[in-house]
Amino acid sequence: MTQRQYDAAGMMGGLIVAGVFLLAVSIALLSTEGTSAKVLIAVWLWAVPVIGICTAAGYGVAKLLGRVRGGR
Amino acid sequence: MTAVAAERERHPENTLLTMQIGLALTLLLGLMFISAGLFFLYHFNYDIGPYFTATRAIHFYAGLASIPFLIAKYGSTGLRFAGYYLRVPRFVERGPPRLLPRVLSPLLALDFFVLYFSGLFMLFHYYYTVANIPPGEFYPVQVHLWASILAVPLLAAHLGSHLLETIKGLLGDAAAVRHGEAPATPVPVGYTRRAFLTTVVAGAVGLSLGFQNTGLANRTFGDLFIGRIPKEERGGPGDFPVETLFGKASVDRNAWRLRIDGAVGQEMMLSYDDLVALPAVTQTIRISCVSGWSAVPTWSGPRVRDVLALAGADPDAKSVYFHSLSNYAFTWHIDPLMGDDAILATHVNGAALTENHGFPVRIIVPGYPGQNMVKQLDTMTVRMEKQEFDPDLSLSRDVQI
Repeated sequence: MTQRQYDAAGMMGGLIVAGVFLLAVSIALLSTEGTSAKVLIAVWLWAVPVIGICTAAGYGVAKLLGRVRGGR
Repeated sequence: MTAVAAERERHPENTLLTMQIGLALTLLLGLMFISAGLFFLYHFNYDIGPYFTATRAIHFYAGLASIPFLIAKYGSTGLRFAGYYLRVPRFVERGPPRLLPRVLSPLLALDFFVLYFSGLFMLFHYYYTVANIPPGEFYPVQVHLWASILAVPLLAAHLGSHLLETIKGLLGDAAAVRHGEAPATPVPVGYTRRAFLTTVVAGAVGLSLGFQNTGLANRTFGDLFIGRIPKEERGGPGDFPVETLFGKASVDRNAWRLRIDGAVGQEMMLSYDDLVALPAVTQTIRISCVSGWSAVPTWSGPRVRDVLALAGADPDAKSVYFHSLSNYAFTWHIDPLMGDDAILATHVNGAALTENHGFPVRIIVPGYPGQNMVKQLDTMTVRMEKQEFDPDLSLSRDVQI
């Protein structure tokens, strides 16, 4: 695998983790007694930082992994 | 190639500056959006009250600190934007911006202007936020919320198109320095940029501390800033900020009564003397305001649960509606009211409350925003209905958040 492929895979992995996390938080909030769909506004506001953090983390991990495994 | 030329070659015009400011702004915006989501939840769900203060601090500090970065970003990006469209040769040579940023960036800039304007408006006039009363046709709470909701896709698209190249650009710059291809502090460009960045950072720190430091702000700039302490309170037991949403009422101590009705065994009317004759507790409880200040006075008065028991409140009651003489109101969930620290304060720091601070009596519960601590109580209505956890964004004078 080339370094570029590692990077892409890492970022994609980060995106998937972010999506799963946001989905889990949405379900947890909606499951709370007395909540309404408006709580999803909070999840919407969290979307950018969560996606950003997860994607950057995935990119960082891929970068390290690629270097360790000698990606070009 | 000279150091200056090398720097300009690697980062033509002010792209490095834009990258550095953009990255700092991105980190601060991350904090702001995370706290905004929590803020949104907490503000309407007082069951999570103890975390409210921390969330407010993060949101306000990050928001204020980001202003100089935002101004610098507007200036830095605006320079290149204006340079290109005014056909300045060195900007034209670099070609037009890509289509996506070209379309979205002006929208993002406009949206952020609205977002910060409404945010600062609420900071200076926080009662519009709390009571959700529109000043004229401007609804700051709703404008701020919808601007932030709209900012999410705009920001995602903007960051998506810029963030990776920014990180690569900044890492590339560091790598070039490490490999001896460029000086770490090019002269004079590096110094100029560093001096500029230092100014921005100093501005960010100064702005957030200046606004948020209650002691400095209210004593220096008086009514302009948050956390106003009336002159008559300074140096006395009530020497901490006063916020009143609907003004304060003049109270005739002898005529005043606290009515306790609703789901109670028998409606009660307590006089001031009745209230101060009840067994009192003294607690040092921090009061924190959404406008940014906090104080830690010592409050005295009977426990809320004792007064409710006196009236024979239904043990299955779910909430209590507190109403003030000035027509302010707040509905509390019953659980926090049953705690040892939930008191109907008649005294603060050893003296009877003044009207500024809620004479004859106000509710005080630790860990909740000051807006919940209704002053100058005249009615407590015990209710069997639980307060809905529903962030109702409609306009209402009846503050039942």
